[in-house]
Amino acid sequence: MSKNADKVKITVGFEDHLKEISVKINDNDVLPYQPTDSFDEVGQDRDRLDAIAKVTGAARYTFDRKLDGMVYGRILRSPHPHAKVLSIDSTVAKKMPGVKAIIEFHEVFRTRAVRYVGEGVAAVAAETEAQAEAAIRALKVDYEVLPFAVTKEDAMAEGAPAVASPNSSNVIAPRAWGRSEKEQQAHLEDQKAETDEAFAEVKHVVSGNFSTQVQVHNALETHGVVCHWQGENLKIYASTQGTFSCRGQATSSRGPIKARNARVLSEYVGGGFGAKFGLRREGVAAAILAKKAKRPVHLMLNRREEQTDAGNRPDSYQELKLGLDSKGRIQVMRAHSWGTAGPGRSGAGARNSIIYNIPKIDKVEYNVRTNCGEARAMRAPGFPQGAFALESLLDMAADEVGIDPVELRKRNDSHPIRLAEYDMGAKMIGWRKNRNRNPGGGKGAIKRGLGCASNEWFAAGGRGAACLIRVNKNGHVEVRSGGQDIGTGLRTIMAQVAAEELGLGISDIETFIGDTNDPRCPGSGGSTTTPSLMPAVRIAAHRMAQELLTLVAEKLKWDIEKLTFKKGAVVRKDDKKLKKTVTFKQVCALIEGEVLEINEKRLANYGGFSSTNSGVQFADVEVDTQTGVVRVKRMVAVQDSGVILNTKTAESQVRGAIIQGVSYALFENRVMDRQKGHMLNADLENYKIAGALECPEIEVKLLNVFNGKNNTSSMGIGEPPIIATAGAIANAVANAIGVRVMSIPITPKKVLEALKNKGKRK
Amino acid sequence: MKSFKMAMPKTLEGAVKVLGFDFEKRQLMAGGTDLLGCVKEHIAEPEVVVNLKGIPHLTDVVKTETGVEIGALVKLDDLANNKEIQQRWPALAQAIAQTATPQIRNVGTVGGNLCQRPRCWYYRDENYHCSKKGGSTCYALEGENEYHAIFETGLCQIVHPSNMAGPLIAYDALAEIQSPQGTRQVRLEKFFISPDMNIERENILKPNEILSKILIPNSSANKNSCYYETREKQSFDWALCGTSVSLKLNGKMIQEARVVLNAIAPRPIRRLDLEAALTGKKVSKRLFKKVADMAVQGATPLSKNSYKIELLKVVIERCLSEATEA
Ligand SMILES: Cc1cc2nc3c(=O)[nH]c(=O)nc-3n(C[C@H](O)[C@H](O)[C@H](O)COP(=O)(O)OP(=O)(O)OC[C@H]3O[C@@H](n4cnc5c(N)ncnc54)[C@H](O)[C@@H]3O)c2cc1C
Repeated sequence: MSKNADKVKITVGFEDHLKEISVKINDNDVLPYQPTDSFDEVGQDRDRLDAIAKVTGAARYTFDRKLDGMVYGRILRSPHPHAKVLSIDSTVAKKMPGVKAIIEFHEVFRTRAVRYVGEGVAAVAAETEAQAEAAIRALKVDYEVLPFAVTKEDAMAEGAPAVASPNSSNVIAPRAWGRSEKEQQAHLEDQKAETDEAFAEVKHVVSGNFSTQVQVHNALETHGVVCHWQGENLKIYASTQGTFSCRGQATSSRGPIKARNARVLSEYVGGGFGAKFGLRREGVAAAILAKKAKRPVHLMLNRREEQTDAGNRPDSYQELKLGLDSKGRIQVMRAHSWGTAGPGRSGAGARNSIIYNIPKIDKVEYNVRTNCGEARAMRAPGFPQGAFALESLLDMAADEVGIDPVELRKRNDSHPIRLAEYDMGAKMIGWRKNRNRNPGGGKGAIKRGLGCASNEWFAAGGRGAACLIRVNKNGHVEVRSGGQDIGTGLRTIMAQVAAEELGLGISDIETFIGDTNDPRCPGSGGSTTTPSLMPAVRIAAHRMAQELLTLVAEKLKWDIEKLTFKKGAVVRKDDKKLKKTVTFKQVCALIEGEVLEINEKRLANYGGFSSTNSGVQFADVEVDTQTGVVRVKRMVAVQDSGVILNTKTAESQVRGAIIQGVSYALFENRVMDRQKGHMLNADLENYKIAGALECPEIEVKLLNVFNGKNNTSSMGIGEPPIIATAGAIANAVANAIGVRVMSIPITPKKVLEALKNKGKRK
Repeated sequence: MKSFKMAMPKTLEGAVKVLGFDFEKRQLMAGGTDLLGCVKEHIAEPEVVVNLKGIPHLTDVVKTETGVEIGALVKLDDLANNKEIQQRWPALAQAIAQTATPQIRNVGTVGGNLCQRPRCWYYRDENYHCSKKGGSTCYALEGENEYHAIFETGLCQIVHPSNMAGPLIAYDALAEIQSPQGTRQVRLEKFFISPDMNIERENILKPNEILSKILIPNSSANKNSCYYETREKQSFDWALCGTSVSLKLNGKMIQEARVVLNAIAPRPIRRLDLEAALTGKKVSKRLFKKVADMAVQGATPLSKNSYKIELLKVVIERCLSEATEA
């Protein structure tokens, strides 16, 4: 492999869309994987290394930690959607059995405001969880109760109470990007006028108002930590998506914890979906309780807390309008949206302007404050909302123009990979044959329909990750990174990438993750953990292989340039036989001293083939037009993500996203009571999540793209596949019943109401 | 949750003695799948929980000359898998199979299912002191009532949560009740009450009474019976509307009918008017449609649940069709 500073030619692309480009390879780096490379581990179907530990319960999550002398923390939460904490009386609680420490949140977090039901007010640590629970219930809080609004409609109504503070408006104007208020006003008006002109000129105009619900992350393992002080140093077991950001927070001189040093451990994480960055209030509270109690503190949220105080995907109301020419090419779009991310000021946009080529856009996003739990990033933040609406409108446009919906998408798309994916997916689902030609017509209550939607993501990763490889004289190989696995199979692909360079199998390698004493790794957000970390693993492993080969080459006077490792032994790159078999272990025995260690960091991205990855999904649904029940029978997903490192774990991300997408399209919905401001279904009984019987047959086609952005050419795949699912299902439902449900979740109630209204219109 | 003492009586008579006169202070536990949920949510805060597990024979299913007797502690799953029940009272097995989750059916009991507390989300939230809990407001009336009642609404808008009550009533089942004075039997349809009788309870039991067994008469054993429900989600969900029917046919002629509706009112409702409309008629789609239309006359839906009216009609028609196809 090349180390030279000059440009080299590499092949990039996929299937029969390959081309050569010139890149300047970073010093110290290896060439990106090439279509001509042969692999023993990379790109294979591999079970997770920790699969057995996970299914047998041997894997220990944060929740499972039990330390000597550990006590339990519980948080008292506001029963009021909007209030000010005047005082907290803890005289009774203090004397209750088992109580070790009490903290008041207004002292730690410097605010007396509570802005939603479930926001923390105080916390207690006690010998048992029941004692802590009893003690928080014995705290007497004096609140000044304030007026509130828990829905966008209520918050936007005339005379609505101020949700956050008296001097902040409930409706937050779109970002002005440095423009003055006046300039911003003019800008929005211009944008509108310009698009109005365009709308006046086009052949076809379609419009629709769409809404989406609040979805709650609901990872299987709730948020929480176990905090253990050792002198001034803090050890934190955390269920987190970012070990290092937790560490940073614990040691920050500006934060309330101020540990001299901190070590964050996160060996197994029961999911995150975007809600688990940083310690959050529960983590900070646990650290402070632990310090006060002088005992390790275990503080995990319960399901109700998880649903009300640990993030959600904002809802949306979207007014959409598209103008198209006679050939169905989009000329102009208007997308005005309103969404609520709780009492905060941002995060409730609906993303829908990146996939298709749209020359003119009038896009305005309003955030509406409500007295509800705060939103946090959730699996492709903003995208599933936007895609549901736009993909629905595209199908309406196809009807209007009189062309096939897939054809309409292709006419408006120029992504080289996605253009190929439309055809593959259409073939897999049997688009021509199985699409309903008479939506809503025919005999029988059950109607079948097909729908399509697409996705796009930017998961090429970037710098900030490093990897340590340690090889023992006895042949033991250790691959380490301090990053975390939120369920994607990080451990396994680290082993695969390292094994490939060292000519070993993944079972020959021990992988360590989730410990900030190991090399740094960025948080798992934006589907970038794989593409950020794997290049570091590969360089480290490659350099380790070189060092080991140097040992044999010197000893046996072989030419190192001709050598590599394969199947546990030294071989010649040109496949010619060596005079002597030297195994990997025999090479390791040559190590001077006890171990060889190499620590390498991730380098910058190359231009490569495409900075975005994409996908197309097709849904095949059945709708019972009498009961309104929608059943997704089959989903087809064509998805790319650079070079696929492990087909099984990559496919599993797509399947998981589709299941969560089905759940979003048909079931999940946070229900708020407008009378007292509580979430009414903060459990897993009435907050409905797709179960086994809701899971369609899922067919995944992974497209292997040699994108050349980094030495492994890998990209991330956790988020993109959830973007398209709800849109594809909504389109399939419309194709089945001949009428469109404009809001998700598509419940029996909405289907029946839509059918009834259709009847009326006729 | 608040801790409590556990009593383990050895006999029904003993259990009745421990129970006392206050629903709040002493509560019965069978499988505990519902009770412990209420305790954890602070809806129930008993001082003593009277566990029925130590009482012998409550788990028996006994064939007698007149029918079958089902002990209150028979697990839902055991009953659903009982061959006799599956063959002779199929609607009961169907209803149980659609109840809760496999895990809950392995622990939950017949008595517990019939005596479970409502699932109304206002009732189940300790922050809402609703009329069922002794307060003065029903929050569902003005609030989120998509899943609530469409019949017998007004005071309290819950729907009775039990699926299996429907088929049991359709099979003319009796409930045997143990009280300090001894045992008595009542028709199961009279066991359930509407809010105007006692808004805080869903059945006639007094604080010191126990549902000890269910008796199903042989005469009701019947292939032309069916339980049908719809729900949003197929893997465990509550019914949006449910119907149980049991028909005696002579060829195509309906000689006798039972029709019970569930998930639409604070109690399972047997509809004598629909039964009368079916009796003496020939099986036909038109008849079923007429009966379904009749069924929803007089419904009083709330602000967000009138969709249940259409749904109920469909459920009744499908239930009747399935029963007559058997
Ligand atoms: C997630 C979930 C989903 C569910 N879905 C459904 C569903 O779809 N359909 C449905 O019908 N049910 C459903 N259920 C309810 C379930 O069937 C009941 O929880 C179960 O049957 C109760 O039985 P148990 O023995 O555990 O009762 P327990 O929890 O022990 O008791 C329940 C109540 O009945 C009282 N009780 C118990 N036994 C007696 C007795 N012999 N005499 C007098 N009072 C008694 C108790 O005091 C308590 O108030 C669901 C429950 C859960 C948790």
